[in-house]
Amino acid sequence: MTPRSRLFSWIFVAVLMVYLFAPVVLVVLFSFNGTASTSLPFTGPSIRWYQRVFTDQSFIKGIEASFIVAITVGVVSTFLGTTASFAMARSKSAILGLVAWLALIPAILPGLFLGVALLSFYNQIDVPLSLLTVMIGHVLVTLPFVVLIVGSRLSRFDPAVEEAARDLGATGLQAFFKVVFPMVRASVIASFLIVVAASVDEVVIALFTVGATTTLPVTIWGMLRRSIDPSINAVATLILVVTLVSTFVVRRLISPRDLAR
Amino acid sequence: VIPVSSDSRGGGATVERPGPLTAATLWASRFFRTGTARERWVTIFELAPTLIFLTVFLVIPLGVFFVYSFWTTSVFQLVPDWTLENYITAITDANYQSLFRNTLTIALTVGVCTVVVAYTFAHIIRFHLKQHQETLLFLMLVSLFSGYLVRIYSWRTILGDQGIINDLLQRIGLIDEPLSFLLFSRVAVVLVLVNYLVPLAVLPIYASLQNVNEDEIEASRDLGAGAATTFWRVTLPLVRNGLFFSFAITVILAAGDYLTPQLVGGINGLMIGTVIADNFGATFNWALGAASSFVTTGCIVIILIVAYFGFRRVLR
Repeated sequence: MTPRSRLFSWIFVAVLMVYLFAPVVLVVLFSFNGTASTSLPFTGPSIRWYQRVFTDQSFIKGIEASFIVAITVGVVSTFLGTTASFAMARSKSAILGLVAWLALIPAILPGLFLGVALLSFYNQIDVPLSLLTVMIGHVLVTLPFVVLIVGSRLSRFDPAVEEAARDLGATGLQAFFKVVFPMVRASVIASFLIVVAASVDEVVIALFTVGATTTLPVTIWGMLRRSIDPSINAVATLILVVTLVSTFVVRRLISPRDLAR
Repeated sequence: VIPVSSDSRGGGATVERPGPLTAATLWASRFFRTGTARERWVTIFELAPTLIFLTVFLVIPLGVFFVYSFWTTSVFQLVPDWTLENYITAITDANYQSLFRNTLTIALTVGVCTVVVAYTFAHIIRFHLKQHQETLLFLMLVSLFSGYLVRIYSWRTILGDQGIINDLLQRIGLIDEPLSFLLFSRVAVVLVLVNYLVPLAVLPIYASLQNVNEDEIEASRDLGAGAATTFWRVTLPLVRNGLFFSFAITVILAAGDYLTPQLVGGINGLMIGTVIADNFGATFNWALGAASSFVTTGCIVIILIVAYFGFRRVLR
């Protein structure tokens, strides 16, 4: 490879990274800005916007709601996705292929359509909107992540291992908990974290399916439309911390290539 | 010879009078072609929760949504009228037509830009910066999970009249007046959507680039093909599926987005998603909103079919 194409490569990557990360970095910087202005120059570091977030009832309620939703969605989605992946890894029948396709539909359908379809459904069966109705939508959009991550691990897993454990005298449950599950444990935890991150960040479906108690991004959306309030930067940074910490832990658990399939 | 009993290995057929459980297992075995009876039941139990969940909360809601597109809305009530009126309005109304044109133009622009940027990045990390590919791919994942709403909102501080870009350009004296086309315009919508979709588009392209062998590229070069010919006739056709998948998902998600046009689009950057969202909110015309969603979906499907054959024709 020539030094020139190497130089061009680095320049392209650097410009792309600035483009991708500039908005994120700015939000974090402005969250520590001393004044309410969101333009340059920065005026001294300050944590006043964070203090405001933690004294504002609507933010606190939003944080609580998002926490409850994300953890529940994490558990349910990981459970459903993992069990389905096991079934898919074992058999290649038509009905399993159908389920695999169904599970991936929410990933290729705009959140808007899923949101209004769920809203129509809840309306038709007279279900009042609440955090539960948000959770259902979030399980739908996060299932594809679990199926992809756990499924990718299982596709590299030799089913003979389970049989070997059984032949050596393990019961079905023992074989599962002592042999099979440990092999996919890292992928299952990684899926859980990605699901939590995606749920904490999700706003499009939540906007249509949320009741009186709103999740944090919905609260932010409500404020965005009214005014420019710098405490939005602080609360956005808090969401970022959750999603980024999850992403970094995921990195320790699985290779990024497991997602690039 | 010990006779093989029904529950040890596979064939429940050796049982003379099948009990209900065996009959059910036999029936299930036609759908789940797997080994033992126990395995079949395990498969069914593992699959049932997800299958039920997806049927109740995905298939049925989409069905209700489709049915609503044939109803009418009057005085904040849905009336089961069974009419094509909503589709006729969505297709023939001049406002809706210009919205669809705007939406599809933006979605296609976003699709092309995103795929070009994502491919260039994937190509670079696969062939030119190989020793850093894990780290760079990871940075894409970080970006993918670094806040959707937050990023759209942040672009307003970058592109606005008092934003970073205008501020910088004025400071170094390149411009006197702020460039007002940066925010609340189509440019802004495209810039923000590409920003959000590039990381997503990189993943399938990178995955298909894994299948491209450097030997194949060398072979092509050895046989006398130039760098450009090799690229167009060997490398790109090998990643065609990844490219198409990325293009498809980018166009779909861009066409269905509604927060981006609402936050940074202004009047010129208005897209159908914003109007659909309004139909399900303030203006309360669910039936028309549902019909518009299906017209949008129809347009995207047609575009993607054309694009698919285009990809096959050009890249082979």
